[in-house]
Amino acid sequence: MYIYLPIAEISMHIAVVVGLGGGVGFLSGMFGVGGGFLMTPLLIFLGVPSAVAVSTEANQIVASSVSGVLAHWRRGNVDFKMGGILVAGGLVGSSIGVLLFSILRDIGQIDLVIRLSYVVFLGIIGVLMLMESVRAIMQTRQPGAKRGKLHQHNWLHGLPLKVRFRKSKLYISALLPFFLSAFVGVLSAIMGVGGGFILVPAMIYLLGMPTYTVIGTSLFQIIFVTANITILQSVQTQTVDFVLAGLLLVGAVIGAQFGARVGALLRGEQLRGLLALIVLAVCLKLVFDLVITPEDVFSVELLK
Amino acid sequence: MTSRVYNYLLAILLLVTGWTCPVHSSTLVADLDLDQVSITIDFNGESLLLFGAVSGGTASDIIVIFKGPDVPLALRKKERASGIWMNRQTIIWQNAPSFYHIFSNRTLDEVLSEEQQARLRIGAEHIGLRTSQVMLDKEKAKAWRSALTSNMTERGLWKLNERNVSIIRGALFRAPVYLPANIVPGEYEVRVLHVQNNQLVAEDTTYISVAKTGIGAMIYAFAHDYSIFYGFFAVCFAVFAGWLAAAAFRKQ
Repeated sequence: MYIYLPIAEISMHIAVVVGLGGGVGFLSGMFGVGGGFLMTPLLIFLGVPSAVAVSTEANQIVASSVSGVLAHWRRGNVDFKMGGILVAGGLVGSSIGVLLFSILRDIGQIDLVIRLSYVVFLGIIGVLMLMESVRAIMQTRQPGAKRGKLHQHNWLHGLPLKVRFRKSKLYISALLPFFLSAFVGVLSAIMGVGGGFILVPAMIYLLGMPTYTVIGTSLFQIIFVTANITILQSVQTQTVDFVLAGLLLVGAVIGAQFGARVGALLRGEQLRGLLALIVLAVCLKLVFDLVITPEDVFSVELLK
Repeated sequence: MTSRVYNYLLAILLLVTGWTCPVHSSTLVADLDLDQVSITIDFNGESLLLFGAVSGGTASDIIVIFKGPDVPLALRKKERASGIWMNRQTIIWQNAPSFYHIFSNRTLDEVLSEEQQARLRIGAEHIGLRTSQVMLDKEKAKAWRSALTSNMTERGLWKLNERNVSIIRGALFRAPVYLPANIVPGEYEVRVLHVQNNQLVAEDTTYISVAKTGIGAMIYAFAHDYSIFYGFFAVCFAVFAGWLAAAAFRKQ
């Protein structure tokens, strides 16, 4: 059965849409990631206009982050004070991102910028994760490896406006999480991702937050940032297709349940190594598309 | 389906009555088996039947020009810059037809000479188009124009369907028309030409509207007319769906 998506204005088979949601949901459940970095490029690849893909994915991430944050909230693993500062930065950043998005779309460069952002950030994160997981797998083979300090101190911790975050046991400048979150917000708006793949490592290594508050707090930030993108894109470009988001979500919710069960069978560093390989595969595919000579150097776009 | 058959019979009736009238010049009447194409939530393209009849002579050649509403189109050209392919040039065509299918019983070149095609403005290369910039270089203009045609053809929006019109006993004709799922809503113009010895002898024009209807149309209108409320609605919907998913799969 085909469905004519009212905002995307294309016809897709319902099984393809739900199946895509299920497949990406499976991986996100397995690895504990949002999956936006896979979903948005796949939607574009399937012929969804890039603006619709990015805005709709933001809408879907609102739902998946809400469902994810609830469990962390119940366990008391959301640092609301840190979350508040992250949200403030994220709202500023994502608003700038949405503005940048429409400028780039008007000059016909949005697809290039989306692709380049994916290549750069997936490449960096993929390589770092792969190195880390290889090191971890090596380390488990030689027991007795010593643990380092809780976190390193550097010039970033000397910035003004220091605030105490009790839940995360931190005393750092509020500017640090604010600007980090603003930066992730810009990327989130342009790439159609939650940005967890940058936010989570940055919160651990840059802010020095303890791991147990990181996931819940980053999900808290992602809810507000993606909600902001959803509303701004709705007003500015009318590209949020909630029918598409809803169908993807149905698949994703079910897929994530199976993924989580499979993920539980694997060790943490094995999972991270596998995820790193997927991230790098997506990255390489995008690099390939940018570098090889296209079949047709011309492309047409209906302006409305 | 019965109404489609009814329409077809009506055309034959018109033909027969036309036959009894004392006309010397050729006349032509054409219609479609649908009055309107509705883009509903399960829309995946629509097949139509165009049919008609010629009176006052034998139908020699029939050409049908099925044209959708004019839209602005951006044609972009990629060039390699520091190793990667990126859009470097853009030309905006201000009034290109969003849909342009031609149907004929023989190849277009067999029916009409190149000069006649140009004079009657038949064929993708003969549509009058305005561009955002005047291209002085004739070769370059031609390359861009043919790139536009091939890109629109690849999307199934522009097409030359030769030998697709069947002529029955020199009087009735019909042609199957397919409107793909990516068509633009609006008023579609169907021009039917009767050609004899490279000359246009009769023509008829009919119209069909393509419109979004039902729940899909309502969502589209909501998103465009009340965009801020739509945005908040989409967020509320997502929050509710997320909560529902968490509640449904909460670990026992």
